[in-house]
Amino acid sequence: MNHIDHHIDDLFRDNLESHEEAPNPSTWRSIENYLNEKDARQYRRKYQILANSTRRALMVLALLLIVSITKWNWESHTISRNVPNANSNRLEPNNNSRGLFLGVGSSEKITSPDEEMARSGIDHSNSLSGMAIPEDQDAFRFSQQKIENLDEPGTHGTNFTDNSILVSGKPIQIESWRLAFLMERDQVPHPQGMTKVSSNGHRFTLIPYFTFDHNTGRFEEVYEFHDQNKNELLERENPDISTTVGLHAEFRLNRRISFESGFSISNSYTSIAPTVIKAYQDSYGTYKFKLATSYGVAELKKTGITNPQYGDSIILNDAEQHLQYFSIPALVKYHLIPGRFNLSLSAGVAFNKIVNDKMEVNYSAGGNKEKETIEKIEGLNESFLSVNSGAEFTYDIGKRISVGINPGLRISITPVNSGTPVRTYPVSWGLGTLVKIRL
Amino acid sequence: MPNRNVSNLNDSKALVRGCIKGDRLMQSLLYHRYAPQMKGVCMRYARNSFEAEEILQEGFIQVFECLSQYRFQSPLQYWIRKIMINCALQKLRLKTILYPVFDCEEWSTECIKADTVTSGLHTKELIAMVQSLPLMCRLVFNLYVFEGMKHREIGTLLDISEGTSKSHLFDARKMLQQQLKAADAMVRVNA
Repeated sequence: MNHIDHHIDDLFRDNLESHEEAPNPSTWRSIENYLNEKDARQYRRKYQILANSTRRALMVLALLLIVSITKWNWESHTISRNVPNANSNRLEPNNNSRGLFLGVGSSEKITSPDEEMARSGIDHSNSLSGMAIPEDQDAFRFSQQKIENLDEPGTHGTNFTDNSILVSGKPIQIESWRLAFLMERDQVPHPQGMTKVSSNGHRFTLIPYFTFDHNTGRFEEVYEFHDQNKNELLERENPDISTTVGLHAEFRLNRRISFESGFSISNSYTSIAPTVIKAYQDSYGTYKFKLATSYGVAELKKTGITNPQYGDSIILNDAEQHLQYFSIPALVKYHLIPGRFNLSLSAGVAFNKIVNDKMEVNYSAGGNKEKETIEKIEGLNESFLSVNSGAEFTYDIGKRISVGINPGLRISITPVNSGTPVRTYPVSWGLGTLVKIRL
Repeated sequence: MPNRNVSNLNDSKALVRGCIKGDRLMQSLLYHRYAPQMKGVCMRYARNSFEAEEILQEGFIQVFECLSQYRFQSPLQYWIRKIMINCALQKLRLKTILYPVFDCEEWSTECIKADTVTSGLHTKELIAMVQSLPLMCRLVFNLYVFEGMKHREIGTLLDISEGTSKSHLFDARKMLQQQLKAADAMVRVNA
């Protein structure tokens, strides 16, 4: 470099290096407008997710309510037709005494206690007459008084012979549905070879439910995605409200233990904070714009830059990652507090199949704003296994229907992705509502 | 500019944190603190003031969106400046096809002695000279003279060879000399 070149360089450097110039006031207004629009867009999206989830939950609940009301009305109508001339000198079934009741080893429809007694033809002088089906509160209290006359189970040889029990040392026969009722409340011992049924006499229960989930995970760094390590990827991810809707079936083995399975669909959303996406060379030597997340890598193809080169970059304004997976759990449930208020704990494993994965990306490339939906996130596995656990607190609002809440936790035991910069084991906890319909 | 008196604004950490949280006032303060310097940088890369404003706007949007990645390892001013330059390069490179290929032969090869250039030129005139350079010459001249980059680095950044970078710098200097000479002659005539 000669003296003249030096002089030219120095002349411009000295005069322009620290040159400052007042920007046009409209520039800040434009930037501010952009930032306001961006904030509004983010709020709108979060509100939209919440609104959609709530709408779906309300639809499910409304559907269940309609089904329940329809079923109750139908059963009520059936009973009132079956007992047109019920004797009223004792407790009679009324509209509150409705529904099917499973007796020990048999299933029979209760129409009236008096009809039942008349049919049985046994000596009722010392029997538990007057007991109505348990749902009738008056009848229940009445039966409780009578039950006090019973011998303590097992104290002096209380025994079953067909449908008879020992009262004050004397065997008496009672109706099967009453016997089942007493058995359910542990007022009498259970005969050998007979399996006790659930608190309401139903073995199978359908459980539709809906939960709002919060997703996080256990992350292991496999390799750095160019100059981005695990922490940098995770810092720009922000889990949004996610949802799960499902239908489980519960099979009650005994009063305390039941087995539960079914299916559910989970929708998991994650927001990606703004960042700069540089063009990186792949193994074929082609430069591509790729966004790495904790779930995988998404390639942006509609940048308008037909042949990206080293140093090219685009600005990611915002992005949202959506993962939808189908789960089949196998759970064992322990009923800690059985009864009208039921508290149960469950644990088990679930097979999760990813059915949909996509990413919606808004970015700026060369001054142009682009929106792209990437239908496939590279590196995601097709399925993963998780350990599920949860609690269930329900309240019986009828003989067949219970409602409640179900906090739950799902911890993946196999990664959701492979060959990605970060190996991710999703963890989600949720809280939602459920309805239990006993069959 | 907002006239809220915030005593700890000298602390760029507080400013950056406020901006990351989306505090519009903090963002405004950061903009108004650094915008004049950055406008000066953008003016050298752009063809005119309007283009410089565009780069400035896009650059600051990028600054606010990526501020969470700032690690306080270098002064904030340099970090913002780097973003501005990247933004300018990207924006201008995309417009490359809009500019006619410059033929160096049309410029005089006569060597002008820089010693003859008067020192009475205004900054605006010097900026206008840089802005009048063809795109690639302007970019190479800026990166070499103001950013202190080597030809190899410039070549990688602009996807040109090292030799091409040197050639662009040579042409840029030659054109600037030509313009300095013309400006000097004008000053003498006026005098």
